[in-house]
Amino acid sequence: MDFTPMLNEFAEARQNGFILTKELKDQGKKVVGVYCGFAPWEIITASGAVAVWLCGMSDTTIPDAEQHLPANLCPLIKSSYGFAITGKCPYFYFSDMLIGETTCDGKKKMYEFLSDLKPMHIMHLHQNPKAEGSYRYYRSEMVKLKEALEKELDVEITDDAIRDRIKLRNRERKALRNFYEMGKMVPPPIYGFEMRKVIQATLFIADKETEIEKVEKLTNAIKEDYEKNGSAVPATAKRIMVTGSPLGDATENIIKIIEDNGGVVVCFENCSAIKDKEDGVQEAGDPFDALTTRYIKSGCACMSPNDHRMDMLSHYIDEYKVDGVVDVILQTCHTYNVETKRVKDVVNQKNIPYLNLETDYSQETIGQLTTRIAAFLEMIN
Amino acid sequence: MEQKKQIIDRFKNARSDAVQELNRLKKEGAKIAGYYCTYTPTEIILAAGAVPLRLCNSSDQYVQEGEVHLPRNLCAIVKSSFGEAVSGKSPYFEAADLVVGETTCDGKKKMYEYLRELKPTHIMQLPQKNTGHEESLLWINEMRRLKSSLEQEFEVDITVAKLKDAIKQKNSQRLAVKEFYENWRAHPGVLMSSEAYSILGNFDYRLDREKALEDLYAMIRHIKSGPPDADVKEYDNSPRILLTGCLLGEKMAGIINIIEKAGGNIVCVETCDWLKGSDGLVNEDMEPFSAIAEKYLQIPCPVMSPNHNRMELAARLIDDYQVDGVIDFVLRACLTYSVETVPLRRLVKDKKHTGYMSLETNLAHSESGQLNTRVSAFIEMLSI
Repeated sequence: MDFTPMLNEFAEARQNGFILTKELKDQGKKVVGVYCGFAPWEIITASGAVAVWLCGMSDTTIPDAEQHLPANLCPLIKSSYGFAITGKCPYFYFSDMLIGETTCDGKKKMYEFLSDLKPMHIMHLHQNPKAEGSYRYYRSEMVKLKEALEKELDVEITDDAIRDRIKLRNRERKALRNFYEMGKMVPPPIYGFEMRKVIQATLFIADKETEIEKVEKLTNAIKEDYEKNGSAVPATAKRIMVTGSPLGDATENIIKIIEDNGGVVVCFENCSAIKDKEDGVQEAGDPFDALTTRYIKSGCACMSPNDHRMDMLSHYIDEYKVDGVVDVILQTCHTYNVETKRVKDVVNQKNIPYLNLETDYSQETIGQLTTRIAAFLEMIN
Repeated sequence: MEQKKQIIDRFKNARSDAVQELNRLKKEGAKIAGYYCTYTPTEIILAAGAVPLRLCNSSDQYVQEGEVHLPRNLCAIVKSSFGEAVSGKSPYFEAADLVVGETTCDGKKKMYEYLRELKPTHIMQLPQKNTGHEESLLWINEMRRLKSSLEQEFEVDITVAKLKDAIKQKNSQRLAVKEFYENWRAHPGVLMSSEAYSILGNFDYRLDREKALEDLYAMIRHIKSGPPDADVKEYDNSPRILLTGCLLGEKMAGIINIIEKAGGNIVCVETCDWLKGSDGLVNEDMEPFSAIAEKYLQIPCPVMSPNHNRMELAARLIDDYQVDGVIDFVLRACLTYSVETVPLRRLVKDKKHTGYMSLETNLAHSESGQLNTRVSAFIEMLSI
């Protein structure tokens, strides 16, 4: 069975989502814009609202943002802010409310300006996932998030509604895990570029039931095809893990360069990929405890120390039989940038090579990136 | 009275003199707790009978060393502080038995993860907001955690009585600093701003605390009684300048010279080594941990979000000191101060109708020429 049309459908999800979101909005649905994973989707959507992903991924609005924000700031933050002030992002336009979290310095300070544009709730985060007091603090912020949604959207959010969303999200996570774990196969059945299209698309699909069904179908179709016809990826392709800052569309170039030069990305240890999907949330008991227990483990570099990420990296290098690790850092993303030293140590302990790339969303550095990535892949030989 | 110059020199030489003092203290068996940031509640260190030693390095001496391990595109203070620690050559860092840090900004927070490999390190978890019940509880709990760490590391008991003594001691130092700069402002013409900065900017780095306090009072007496020095300029019509922003250390002393030469009259410095750290007292009548936590959480640093305190403080200072122009210093890649130039500019220009300039810089002296040009142009513009 040819799975290409199914893949393409996912690739168009972000564009199609614009119209679908407008339709939902016309039906009276509320729309909540989100930027980061620390505010649980489960609580936001338990309000009956649609959660839309606002993180800016392209460089088109960066010059607008730089009129207010410093140039030496992470492109993701500038892009997000640029989309907000220019009205170029339909998702932002449709949002009735915004949710931000005090993750990194840049986002935290940028959010101070966003609240001038739309009703906004800021979730304050602990900074050390293991410290005494962090659990209590984060849990109290979950409750405050619920209360803020209730007030702004004029709804009641019951524990049962949150539990329902927990179950649904767990099913989505499972479907996506089954999908991306195909990367463990040797050779993997599809390229990382295609894999990422699907994972990324799920951020923009509001109807999770249909999404889960489609992801499952796609996974089955790919596996079936693999049995019959083998893979388009040669068995000699170098198996690469990509990690680091959240990947915007422009950094997709890096994946493309890797895969055009004899590599294949078998694992994405980034936001909205493994970092987000790996562990489920406990379905029984108090939903706030369950969510706090799960989300406090998020392996983001804004946490200090971020030991969980190191453990995950080490584990997945083995699981996915990784030949090399590419750590992509967005320019001025201090937390991921300072953490590269720890990541490098973890990777080198496994006796595999490590490449650290700093990039922004611009297309200007492609030549240089190609040279470095090609040399890296050649070295793995 | 001793010559003014001799007293000022003791402040200027605080860091180099501290080396000898550290040796003496170590020989006597004193415990040294290194710290980096204004958020460190040194009262608790004092109550442990230990010596608080400020390690935050604002010279560019160790920046390159720091860059071997840390990204280049990072604040110079973070790089220089880590460079000093990792060099193995710093008499200050080497002397510390324990290092205390806080999760303030991204750069420092992540840098501290590597410090742990070099020294016993205690990191306090700072909330990112200075209002709210949960934030208060979290921060008070961090005071207790620091106490336990110090007790364990130094094998001492920190009693309420010792804490109260330490609070009084620190408050009296804060009051002295305040008395100093208020008198300095009330008697223009006795001390140049650069001299005042040499005194206050180095006050925390002096380990001979009693002598430092004595020197500060000697300077206060001098200011009160002394006739205007011939070498101090009259400032009658000069634009009145408020300095704010990142800590710049030695670099700031140079900038102050430039501003003075350009004809600016610096009336207040709202940075960590001056007003930001010394403004406000710890309540002596409250339960000590709550009192200390309350005071430190109100420090108007932009790591707080929102940071209304800094905007309110700036508004108050502009009025109190009849400020004509604000210069806001941002160390390159210091994201919080950098983004906060936007609301500060709005406040200063639109609400207070006062001149505003933000300057991005690093700690290297090589940039002085350009800074000179920009600062002079700003002062000139204000003088028209």
